[in-house]
Amino acid sequence: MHGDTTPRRGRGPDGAAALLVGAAVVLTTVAPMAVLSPHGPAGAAAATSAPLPRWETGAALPAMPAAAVVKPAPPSSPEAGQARVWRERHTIVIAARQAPRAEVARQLAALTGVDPQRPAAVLHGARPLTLHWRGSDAAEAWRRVLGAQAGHALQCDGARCRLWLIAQPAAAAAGVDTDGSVDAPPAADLDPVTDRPPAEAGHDGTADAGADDGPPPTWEPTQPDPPGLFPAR
Amino acid sequence: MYPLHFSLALALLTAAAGAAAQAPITHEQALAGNVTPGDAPGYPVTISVPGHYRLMGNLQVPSSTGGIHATVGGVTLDLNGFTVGGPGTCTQSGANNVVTCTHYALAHLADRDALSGIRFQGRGNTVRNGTVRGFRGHGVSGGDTVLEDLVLRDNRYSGFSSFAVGHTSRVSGTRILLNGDHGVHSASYLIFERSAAVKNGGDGLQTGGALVTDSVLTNNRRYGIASSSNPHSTVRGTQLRYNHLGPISGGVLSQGGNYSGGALF
Repeated sequence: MHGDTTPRRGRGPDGAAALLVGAAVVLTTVAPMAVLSPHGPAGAAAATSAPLPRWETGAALPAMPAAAVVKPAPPSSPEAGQARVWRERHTIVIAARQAPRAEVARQLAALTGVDPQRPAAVLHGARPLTLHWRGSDAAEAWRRVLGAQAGHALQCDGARCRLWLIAQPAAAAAGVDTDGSVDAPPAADLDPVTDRPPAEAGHDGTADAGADDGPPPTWEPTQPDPPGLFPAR
Repeated sequence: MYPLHFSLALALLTAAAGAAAQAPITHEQALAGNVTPGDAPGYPVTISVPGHYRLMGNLQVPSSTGGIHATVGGVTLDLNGFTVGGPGTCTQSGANNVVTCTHYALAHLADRDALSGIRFQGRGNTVRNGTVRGFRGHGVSGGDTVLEDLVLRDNRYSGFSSFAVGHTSRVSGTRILLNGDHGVHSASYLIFERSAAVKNGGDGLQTGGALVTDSVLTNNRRYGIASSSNPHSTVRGTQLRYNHLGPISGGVLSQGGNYSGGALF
């Protein structure tokens, strides 16, 4: 019955009071809707400045205070060397400009339920990060932050993640290209007997580009073949 | 009505027999040529007609050429337990998992496909149940391909290579080892299940995204898995140990049951 605003005649004092209450309820319902209208703040202002309806009692309803309009946050542009990671409802927002990757990871870790110590330690000394990103996928957020700087595995359930950092940034340190998109011919053929993978020019996704032995691994040294994996030659 | 029924049944039987027939391929036939129209004598065997083909013996392929070249899609190749073999071998030595092969490196990228053991040019092909080894190019080359129950080894470049973007391939029950380059090198999404990529000269898997389940990616020269992160690769129940540069380059989504030696994840 709140929506019933048809003027009627011959009401007593009780009826007028009921009408006033009803009208107040209607207005408190309508005003916020105006703020959220697709016309934005202008539409909301127009709605609040429109002449208020008069009712049978002849008394104008008190003007409603202008509803607060929530403005979108200004575009984030942190200063160089700084980063902000925050959540807007279900959206993760990352704003970083030449920021230490470890710091971005620390903030993202706090946001996604990851122990912040480990990524910060692993990413110490990694390349700075410039990134403006927003999205709801926490795994994607981590991918953007970690990139190829650290081998990692993720399990994300909604906003919370488990993160394993299972390789140091060896590729970057060793100068080994991991981009397999472009291939290039070798500089020269090699002796057929000692055909060690040649150092090919350009960005080659093949092993040939990775002739550099790189730093000694810190995880596991090479071990004998796992039993049963190799068929008899 | 009886003659009509008989004719229909006969037609159906004939069609079924045709569909089920598997054209045999032997080394002698390869040398003679005309396995399918347009197939020249010698290697590679050219398959220009979709259908089932079945090896009836090993194919001994010289180093100057590929083994089997399917120029159309819709080819199912049953190796029937036999080997499509070239003369090359690879060995792994040293603490850094370096793989050394007897074959020359190839000057041109296209040659790697042309000199592959099995090369598929169309879509929707399958190869199963046998060994492809010792080629100057890849073991198997082609996109949108299913590889089942194979051994791909001792090839100068990748065990399986697919540079056809957007063509998802599946590798099941297959061991890929001691190839000079990556175990699998795929520009497209890859389904890799119940398989092993071990002791290869590059990454175990280098892909543009993969679903890796119940597999072993160990002892490779570079990473166990190096994949594009968009889409993320997803890994479940897989060992990624003893790879020289580490288990993973970039990131993967874990569905659990994986082991890298340092972490169960």
